[in-house]
Amino acid sequence: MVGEEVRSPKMCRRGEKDWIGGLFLLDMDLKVVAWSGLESIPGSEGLEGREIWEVIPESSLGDKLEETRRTGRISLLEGVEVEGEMLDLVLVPLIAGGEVRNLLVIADSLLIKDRVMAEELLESTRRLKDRIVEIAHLMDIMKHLIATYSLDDLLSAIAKSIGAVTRCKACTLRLVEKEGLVLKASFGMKGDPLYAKDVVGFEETVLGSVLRTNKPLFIDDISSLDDELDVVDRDGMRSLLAIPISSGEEVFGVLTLYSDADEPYSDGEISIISALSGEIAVVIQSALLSRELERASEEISILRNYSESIIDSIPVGIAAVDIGLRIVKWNAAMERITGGVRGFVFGMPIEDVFPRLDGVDIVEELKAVIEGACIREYQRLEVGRDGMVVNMWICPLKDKIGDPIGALIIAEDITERVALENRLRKAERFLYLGEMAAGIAHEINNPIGIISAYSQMLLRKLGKGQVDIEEIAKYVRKIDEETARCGGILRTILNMSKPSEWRPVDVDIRGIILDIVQLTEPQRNQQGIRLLLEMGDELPVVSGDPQQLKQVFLNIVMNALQAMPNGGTLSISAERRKESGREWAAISVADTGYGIPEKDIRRIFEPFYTTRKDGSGLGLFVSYGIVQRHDGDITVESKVGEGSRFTVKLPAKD
Amino acid sequence: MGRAAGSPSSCPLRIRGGKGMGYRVLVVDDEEEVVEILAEFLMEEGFEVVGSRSAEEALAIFRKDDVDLVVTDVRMPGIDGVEMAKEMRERKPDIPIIFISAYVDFSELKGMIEGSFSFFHKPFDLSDILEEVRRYLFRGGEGICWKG
Repeated sequence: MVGEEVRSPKMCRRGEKDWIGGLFLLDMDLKVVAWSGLESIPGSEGLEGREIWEVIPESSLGDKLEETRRTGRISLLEGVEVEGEMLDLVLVPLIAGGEVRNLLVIADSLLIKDRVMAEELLESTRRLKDRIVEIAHLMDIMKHLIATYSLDDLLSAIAKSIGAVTRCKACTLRLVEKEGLVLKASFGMKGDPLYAKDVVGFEETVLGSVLRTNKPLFIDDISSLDDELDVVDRDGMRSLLAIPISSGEEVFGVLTLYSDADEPYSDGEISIISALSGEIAVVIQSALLSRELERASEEISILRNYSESIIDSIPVGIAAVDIGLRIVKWNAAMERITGGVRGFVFGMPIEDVFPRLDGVDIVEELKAVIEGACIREYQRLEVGRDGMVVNMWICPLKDKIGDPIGALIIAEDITERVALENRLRKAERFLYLGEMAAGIAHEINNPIGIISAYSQMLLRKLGKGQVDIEEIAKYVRKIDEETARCGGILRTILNMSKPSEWRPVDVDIRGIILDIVQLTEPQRNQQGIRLLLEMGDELPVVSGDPQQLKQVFLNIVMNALQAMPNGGTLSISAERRKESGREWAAISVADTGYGIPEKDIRRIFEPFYTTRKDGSGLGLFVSYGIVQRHDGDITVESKVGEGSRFTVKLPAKD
Repeated sequence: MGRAAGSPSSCPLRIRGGKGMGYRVLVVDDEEEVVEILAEFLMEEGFEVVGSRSAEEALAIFRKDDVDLVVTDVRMPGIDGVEMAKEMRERKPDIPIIFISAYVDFSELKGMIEGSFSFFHKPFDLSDILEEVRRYLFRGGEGICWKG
């Protein structure tokens, strides 16, 4: 059995057959907010939103209401005719926060007939008014408390206040959550909250129906109710009033009041409690919102901390400056690199904090990057302190629409890497020396092996007494030849290890190449090799030793010719090039010969490395040394079956 | 600089003779002098000797003729001594092989080739080589040997 629905409003009945009366809750525009009774008056349905004199066409009502509002006092308007019925009107101002917020118009046909009753009603209305004021006041306080109280505390306070001002025996306040209507606060429960269920389902329950209809529900006798209620023990409770806590269509929860009386609340009270549930909803909504806001801001701050700690954990120095080149970000690695302490540098101009860099004006660079919106890269910059070396990048920072807002400086400390590279280079040099020594030893072992074998043969023959002058002469000649070979090898090595003293002179690369072209003409013709010669007029003058450089190009050209025994094309080109901020003479020699397998490419500059039967393995090694002494570079590209290209780069004379 | 290149037409050095023991030794080295002197020496000791200045050529000879023992250089242009020896072993798994080298160490060779072989470092002692050849051919000697 579900109780009689409290439509708002409901006809008030006190047993008297001929009694007619009603309640009108008005807003300050004197429009009906809620009403009850007056069902006998035709056309009285759907009064909400209409002005009060449309319902009660009494000319003095407006003035009286105005007076009530002004004075904040209850006033009486007697003998007003409404649709043929004579009614007395009690006008009650509802005050909250020291101001009249609503007006209550109580219409009663019995007032005139029975003054005593009127007095009683007046008295009860006064009491009601006091409580309403009290509730409204409480709600006001609660609104202020939202910010400081936790939601749970707030809900407890609401439950307690409702309990206190409505004379209910107990009340529960539940909010809609995923699993059902969850008990948030209660009042007056025996062994609270033992007697209230934690969760009440949405379906098939009294509270669930309130939730669905979004309308208050009054049940005058809960003892006979076999439906599930939200209290475990109904002992001593007779009636129930369940009010949806809602804001518009959205229902947040249900406020349930239990009483030990059949009719614990006057109709006015029910109306007021109903009206107040809207206020409670607003309070809860704002509390939920503020809580959500808090959570969101917490999340944002966690996220911010997270990204801050990411930036801080990156072992690369990161600094950001605004458009005025003032520091807005400075991570831990940047602290280490520059010595600028974070808390201290924020807001400071970058030039006051950033250390002097070798040949880079940080302010100029930042300005250029912000203006040009390009990224600049700086390799191996020396930073003022302790010989620190960094790689640095400056990138423009832009906002969402692409306008420049500053720049980012990224600096990577490569000091250790550079030191390691230097150590490695040293180690390589030693390794190279070792390899070279081994190369020399092996190279000399061959002729010595032959000398040794011939000597042994000679000794055997002499020992056996087989003395054939011709034969002996042959052996000795071989020994002599191989000794000369040893000498040749050693001389080359000596020449190479002792850097011949030379005074650099202006070298005409063009002339050298033309010489070599002429020198190799007979061999090219013999092998049927075509020559493509391409020399720019702007070839820069190189400073160095012309004889040594001639040897370099001769070695390379000879190698190229030997790679094309069956003919092909020899391409020689020389041009001016600008690379790494310097002017260079770049000379390329390309053949269409065998090509060098990838595995051999890195070995071709090693001493004694050769793939030719009659090669010494020293040509490219010597060439490499000469080019190095000229501060130049020699590189090779090659593909088996297609040919090789050697490129020699020599710095132009300043 | 560099060595004078011998003319390829002088190969193979096929020198028969000696005391007719019927053993044929194949000598391989890109240095003509080494082939020449080993051949002369082994022939004087009674072996039939076939000389070659490249592994490619030596393999051709090996496939055609019945060879009892191989003396070879390791590092040569083109196919090197190790590759050559592997191919020969595939054809004739028990062929005795004696390596001679100015560059390579015995330890390097050990990992590169399966089965037994001998190794002499250049410069080598002619009598050591002779002893090794005899050990293989007359006493059925076997095992890894090293003389440096």
